[in-house]
Parts: sequence; C-alpha cells; structure tokens
Amino acid sequence: MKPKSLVVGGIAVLLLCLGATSSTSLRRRTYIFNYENVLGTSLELKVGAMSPGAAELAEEAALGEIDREAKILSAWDPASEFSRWERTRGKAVPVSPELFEVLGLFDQWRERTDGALDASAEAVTRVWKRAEARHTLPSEEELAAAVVAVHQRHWQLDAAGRTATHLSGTPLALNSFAKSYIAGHAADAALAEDGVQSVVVNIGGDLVVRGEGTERVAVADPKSDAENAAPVAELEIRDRAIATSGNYRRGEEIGGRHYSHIVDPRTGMPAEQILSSTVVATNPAAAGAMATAFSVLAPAESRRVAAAIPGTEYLLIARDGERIMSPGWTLLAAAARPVPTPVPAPGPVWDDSMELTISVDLARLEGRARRPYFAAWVEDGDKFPVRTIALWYQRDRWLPELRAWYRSDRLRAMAEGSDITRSVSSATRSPGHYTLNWDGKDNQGKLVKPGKYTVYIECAREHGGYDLFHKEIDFNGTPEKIQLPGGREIASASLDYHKIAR
Amino acid sequence: MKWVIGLLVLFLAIWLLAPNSGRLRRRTGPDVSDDLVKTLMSLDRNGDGKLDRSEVPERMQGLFDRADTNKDGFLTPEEIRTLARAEALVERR
Repeated sequence: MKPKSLVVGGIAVLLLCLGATSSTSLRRRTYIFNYENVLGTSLELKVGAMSPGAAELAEEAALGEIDREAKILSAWDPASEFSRWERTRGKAVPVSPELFEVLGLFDQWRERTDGALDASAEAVTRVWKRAEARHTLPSEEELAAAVVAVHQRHWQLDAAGRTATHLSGTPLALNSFAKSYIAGHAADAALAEDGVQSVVVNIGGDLVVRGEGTERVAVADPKSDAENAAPVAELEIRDRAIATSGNYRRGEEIGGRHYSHIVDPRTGMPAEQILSSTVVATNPAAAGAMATAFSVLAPAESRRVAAAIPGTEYLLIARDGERIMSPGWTLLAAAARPVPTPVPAPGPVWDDSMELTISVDLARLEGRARRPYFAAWVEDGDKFPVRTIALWYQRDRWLPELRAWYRSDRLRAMAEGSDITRSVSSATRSPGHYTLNWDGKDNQGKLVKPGKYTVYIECAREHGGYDLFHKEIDFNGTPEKIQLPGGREIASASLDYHKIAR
Repeated sequence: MKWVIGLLVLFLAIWLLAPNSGRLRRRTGPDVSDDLVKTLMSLDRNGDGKLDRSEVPERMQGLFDRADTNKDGFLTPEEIRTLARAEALVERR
C-alpha cells in the first residue's frame, strides 16, 4: 500500500468511526430526574430524548414552568399571586391567564360535581384539623358554620378585563387539581424542546404522559401499606394524565379512629365510602379534579360525571374492598408480568401464617436534594443473602454505594450466576414512612427453613449520610418486635415478626 | 514520513472505534474479590486451605459449577478470586 493511500484509508476509517459514534449518540434514551420539595411533594421527570443535552434542556423547561406556575397558584406561599389575590375583598383585580383559568375551572367543576369539588372545602378541612389538635370531634355548630361558609359565592370572574373579584372570606385552596394542572404545562414545556420525543411528569403520584411511547403505571392497593405489596392494577398510559386521590395515607386520628383528610364540602363530613379513586383523562386538570370529586361522590354520580368527559376512565376502591370501574378501564390494563411458580422445599419450612414487617422513616431532606439509595435484605447463618426485599436505586453506577448489600449480592451472584438487580429494584423514594413485608420466601419464591436470619437495612445518599442496621431474629413462629436506632438517612426503623391478619 | 502519519491516523481510528465494539465493561464498583475470598474461606472447617463440597452450604453449591475450573472437587482461594473478578464484568448494552 502506498503512503498516500494509507493516509486516505486511515481518514476513511476515522470518518466511518466518527459516523458510528454520532449515530450511537443519536439513539433515543430515557433520562430520569428526581427532585424533592417540589409543590410540597416529590417530582420525577422522565425524558425520552436523542441526547443528554436535549434531556437537560427539557428538564430545565419543566422545572422553569413548575416554578413559574407555583409562584402564581401556590396556597402555601403567602407571596404567590393567588395568596395576594385571596387577601383582597370586593375589588376586581386583573389576574394572570393561569389564575383566571384555574378559578374558571373550579367554577365548572363545582357545577359538574354538584358542589363535591370546591376550593372552599378548605374551610371544612380546617375545622377537622383544629378538632384533631384538641382531640375531640368538631361540634355540630362548627361544621354547620363551615358548610354555610362553603356554600357562598367566593369570586366573580370577568373575561373581558380578565379580572377576578374575591367575594367571600372563606379559606380557599387550589391543591385538588393545581398539581395536575401544573404538571400538564411542565410536560408540554419539556416536550417542546428539540430532540425530545416523550415526557412523563410525576408530581407526588399524579402523572402526565406526553409524546411518543407509553408509561407503565401501577395503582397502589389502598388496603395494604407495604411498599412491596402487589398493586391493584397496572396500566399502560399513553398521552394522558392519571391522578389518584385517597384517604388511606393522610387524615386525622381522633379518639383512636381515623378520619379521612378528604371532606365532603356539602355535608362537612369526611369522605369515608371510597378508599381511593384513580382517574385517567386526556386533560391533566380534569384528571386531578375528578380524582378528588370521586372520593366524595357516590359511585353512580361519579359515573355520570365521567361519562360527560370523553376519554375518562376510573377505578374506585370502596371501603369494603369492592372495585368499581368505568366501562373502558380494563382496556388500559398492561399485559401481566409472569409470576414464578414456587416449588415447596423438603424439610421444615417457614410458618406461613407469619410475616416480617419492616418499617422505616426516610429522613427529611433540605432543598432540592437527591433521594437516598436504599436496600433491605435477609441473610442466613452462612451470611448468604437469601432474599433482597427492597432495592431502591436509580443508576447502576452508584449501586455499589450500598456497599454491604453490594458485597453480599456479589457472593450470591457467584453461587447463582444471575443478576437480580433488575427484578428486585424499584425507584428511589422521597422522605417519609414506608413499610415492607417479608413473607419468608427466598429470591426464587421458595419458603425458607425456619430459624435464625439477619435482617439488614442500608441507606446511602450522594453528598449525604450512610446508615447500616442489622438484627438477627429467630423466625420460629414466636412473634418479636424490635426498634432499631435511627441514623442520618433513616430517621427510625423497626422490625415486627407477627401473625398475618387475615 | 507520510506512511507514519497514515499509520497514526489508522491507530487513532481503531482506538476510537474500540470502545463502541467492546460489549464487556467492568462494573464501576469497588473490587470486593479479596473480601469474598475471606468470607468463603472462613467455611474451611478442616483448615486444609481449600473448600470441599461438605464444607459449602447448600445455597452456595453452585460455586462448584462456576469456580472449580480444574474440576477436582475443591475450591481454592485462587479459583474463588478468579470467579469473583469475572463476575465483576457485566455485559452492557
């Protein structure tokens, strides 16, 4: 080969390889961003984009839109446009298009739901909160006064001048669908960036899916607290919004009884018949509004409201466990994942009337901090990890930061020659209380032998702290409760080996 | 002189292309192989410096299929270390 042809050949190979590099970087990938303390909850943003740069621009656009609209609609921020407007009385105030639209939507939904959705339901909520603080039920007079306050006219809108006149002194809150409303606009802003094909905005469990592709969404079982409990439904959502409202996580505890945080503004009483309502709709604000309203309305009324809005599907879980679905709900169901069939092991096995419940409190974080990585697993007497109960992480690269779990799982991988990371892991969690159940099964779904096992809980956070707790328990059928010390990332944790309530 | 430049360009091209064709990447975790050798060798009850099947718990018997490369029925620290290092190589798409 002549020197000249060698140079030409070399350059040709170089060009080819540069072409190959750029074509791989042009492949669409999903980028995930997580933030805490966004609109009083957590934010997950999933962007399907051609490059990390495009994904970051989409992230910036979504966060920018959320910040902008929070400054308009937030009821917690005394400086927000809504809070400033709420302090005025009887004066036509020129307002932003967003505040004008949201107030108008509240008028529409109050009408459509016969008053079940009302921004002034806040007046009733406050009565119940005060009652909880003094550990007594609210008096009839208090509730009646709140209901009268709700039934007034709270504002008047004038489309010509885009003004809103605040009429009543009843406390107002826009939170029933402001979250979904803002999430929808954030998704649209992110999708408008060049090179972005799909966007999922998840603010505290209310999702908006936009662009190409589908998002698999699990609907949590309101009757089970455990994070690893099977969901009641798995859906494939495409270009729609999904919102869930329920009384199972939050509410008031008075005289040992739980009262829902969702109140019926028409009666002043907590909504107790529906444990959770999940609504899928084309319009995010409509999904949020209906999810709240359907927690309050009788199922027949919910059906009437949903039928009037094309593209709406819902699942209501009643107090007695009954599942009430809209006619098209099942069409959204995702294909079932294969479930391994367990084969019983010879010899004595775990008492299957018992289970271990692990409760953990992930410590509160300051500012927009990253979420911690978390693992909970069980090792037998030979230090072999028989079961990974939970593995919450985001990037493979940082998984070894859970160093005790990582080391333990390397041992398992050497013996079993398999990677369980994908099958046992799920997304990182925001600060709060979580429970996990261990049913005595190993990673293959077989019940383990009774006896002593060590339960491990590990938590690590980037630029944060590191906690590792472990405790040996004799799983022999005798109940045992253990309180573990708290740390920097895990504020408190406890283990409860108990009989399963059936 | 030109052929030297040509060769350099060719090598540069091959070097740039290599990471794309390579499918095996080392998992970016710490090397825990020494630690794993120590854990497993603690099972050596008779102290002969290697593990036989009776010393290894049932759940870890799979180690013999995967680590006992010379098929003599024993696991040596070296065999365990080799498997531990190979396990750290994971296939990436």
